[in-house]
Amino acid sequence: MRVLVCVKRVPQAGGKLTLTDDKLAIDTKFLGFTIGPHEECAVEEAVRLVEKFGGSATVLTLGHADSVEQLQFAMSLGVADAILLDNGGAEWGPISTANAIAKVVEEMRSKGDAPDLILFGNEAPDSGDFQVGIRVANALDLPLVTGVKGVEVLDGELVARRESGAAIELTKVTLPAVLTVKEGLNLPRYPSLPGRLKAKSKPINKVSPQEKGDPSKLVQLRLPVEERTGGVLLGEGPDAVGKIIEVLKELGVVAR
Amino acid sequence: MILCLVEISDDKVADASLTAVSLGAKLAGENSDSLACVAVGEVSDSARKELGSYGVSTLYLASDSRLSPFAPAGWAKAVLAAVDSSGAKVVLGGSTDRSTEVLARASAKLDAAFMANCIDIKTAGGYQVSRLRWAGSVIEDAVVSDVPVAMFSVVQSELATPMVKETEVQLETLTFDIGDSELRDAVTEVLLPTGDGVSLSDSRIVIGGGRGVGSPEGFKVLDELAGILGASVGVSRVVTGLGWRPHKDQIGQTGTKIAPELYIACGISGAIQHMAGCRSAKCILAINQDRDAPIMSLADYAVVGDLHKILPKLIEELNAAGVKS
Repeated sequence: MRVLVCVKRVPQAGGKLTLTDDKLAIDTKFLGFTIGPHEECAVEEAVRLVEKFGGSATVLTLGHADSVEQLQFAMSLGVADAILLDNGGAEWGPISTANAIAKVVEEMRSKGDAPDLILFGNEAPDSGDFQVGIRVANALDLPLVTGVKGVEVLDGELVARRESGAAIELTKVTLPAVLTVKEGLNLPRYPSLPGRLKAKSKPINKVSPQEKGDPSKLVQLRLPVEERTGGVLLGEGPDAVGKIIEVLKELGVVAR
Repeated sequence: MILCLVEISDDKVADASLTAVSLGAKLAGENSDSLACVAVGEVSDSARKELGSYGVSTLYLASDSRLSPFAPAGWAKAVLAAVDSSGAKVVLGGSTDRSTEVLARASAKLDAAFMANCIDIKTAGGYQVSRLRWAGSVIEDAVVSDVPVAMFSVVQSELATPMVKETEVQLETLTFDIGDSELRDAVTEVLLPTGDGVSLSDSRIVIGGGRGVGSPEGFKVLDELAGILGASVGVSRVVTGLGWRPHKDQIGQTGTKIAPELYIACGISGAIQHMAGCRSAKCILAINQDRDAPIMSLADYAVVGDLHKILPKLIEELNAAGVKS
């Protein structure tokens, strides 16, 4: 099976986000970078499918030289090679991003190397656009399932499983297809030391994409007013248990 | 014309859809425009009346049974057919998985703009949009201009749902070709849930455990307290990543979102991804050894200390007082 998995380099946010002075981006001076949790599962699934059915997996990102870190992370888990759509690190909108990815897949097709499966995270943790994978499927005229939390492949057909409220929905599609996946699909492995060493010598194919243009323009980012301002320190250690029980009574959680 | 995609189930319009309809009603009022809805499936008189109370004049309905329970490509085609019939320039939907997917698919077909998780939209020479990023930790203000059609999904919690006026909703049946393109990625089977346990998202009390719980066995004390209080146990992402508990127990941006009366967060630092899943809790009680952990300044009540010393004492005293769920 030939699998293409698409990822995005994003800041590794922890306790609190701060903005740059021009308010156009998150201040990343003190942050590391990563790929989103959904995408970690997409990479893991790509590697598992290749382990099971043979073939190879390729990881793709739109970014710049720094994004090699995320490509190598994916390759350290077992992905064979990478494609870097180098746009100099500009923040492209979903229409431009999807257009650039679809162009690469069309090129793969024309070389007889068409992916059977293209995987995305359900949404990026930072921009939360919920649409790049959907637009790629549309551009390539491929079947698509979003929010996938389970994958089974049998004889060129794929059954995708997702949650709908408390129910489970199954969708059967023929390959090739596009999936956007959610965390919980699998439990991603950690990169091994040999895996990390091997990743450094795996090929990264650089492509210069053209920006199609998005109709939405960022004006500014702002931080919402924190509604939770913190409250009462009840105490320290087991001595605070009496106070905890008072709170439980006040909330009506236990009877007075 | 402003068009809203609405999801209807059990004779009711979904709350998330009504949020979009109420924003649509606001936009229609500001621009002396009219408001229409599009839906797939069947519509009851009560659902029709509900839409009428927001001033909806027309409901475009695609009722071909092959589009149910969910054929996203077919639903997107229904939205496009309604855009054609109504001449709508704006399409709104709830921020559910389904509406988000359908609007993204429909906008892709038109090469039109789609923005997810909007909290406000104003019209004046294009659209001034405010939307959530980083699961609500950052707000983006953006403008969308020079587009024939723009689509937006609207976040549930941020908008009121005012009843403005009563109108008689006209029903218009949508007819369009339904072939392989509309059905090739439709839902083929629905498995209904078994068992009658209360889900994490519906629990009145949730006890959360993070890395500070220390081990899978460490959750015994949380499970025991949950038994006494009639609570569910949830976890942070670290815990599922370590394989201590399954992903279905995870609270956060990429897990379950909870809105209980009380959330007792034990050994959880309070990263933004976790807070995104629990910020709707009415009351948060945090127990943590690190008094500087972010959650300690966000919680309504905080206790500094080892959860493995505090929870056993709490359980002991609740048992002594004869507390049972």
